[in-house]
Amino acid sequence: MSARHVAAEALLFSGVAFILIACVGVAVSGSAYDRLHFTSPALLGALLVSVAVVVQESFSLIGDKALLVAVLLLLGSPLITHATARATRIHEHGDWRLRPDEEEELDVEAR
Amino acid sequence: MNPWLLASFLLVCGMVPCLVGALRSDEAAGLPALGLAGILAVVTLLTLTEAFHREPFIDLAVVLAALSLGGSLAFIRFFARRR
Repeated sequence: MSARHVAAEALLFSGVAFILIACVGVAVSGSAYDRLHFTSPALLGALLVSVAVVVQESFSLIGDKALLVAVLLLLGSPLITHATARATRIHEHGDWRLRPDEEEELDVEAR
Repeated sequence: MNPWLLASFLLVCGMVPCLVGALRSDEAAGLPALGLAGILAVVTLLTLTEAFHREPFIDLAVVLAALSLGGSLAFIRFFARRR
């Protein structure tokens, strides 16, 4: 087994571990806001798996497309996280902006 | 067992906590589980490509990565409008 295969497998299983930890975190935590924190380790895991494919295949057709997948996930995942938090806030309160009582609370805390 | 196939199996098993998390909570808390399941599906297709050395599988991963982004955003938008 070459060093390249060892590196690819190490990256692969570390990526899978990050993703599985994120899955368990989503199942265990309660609210939408708590769960949103677990999308970051999943994204990191997905990037590690993509890099593992590139290490295994180098810059072939598969390697290049794995990089494209990584770029798509890197651009899309923060967008979805932000949109989910915003939609949850709108669903709960009707608007994503701070309510007057919340603004007062923040003012009191700032003083 | 091929390590890539083992990784695919583990990733498919990761769908179960996402499903449990989505079913046991309200709609808002199910949205992050939906997003995570999309990432899981894309990564599973990546590992299956390597496990079977089938190049067409990676095209599915690319298409799914783009479509899951659009699909999730559309679902989230409809969810925000429905109160």
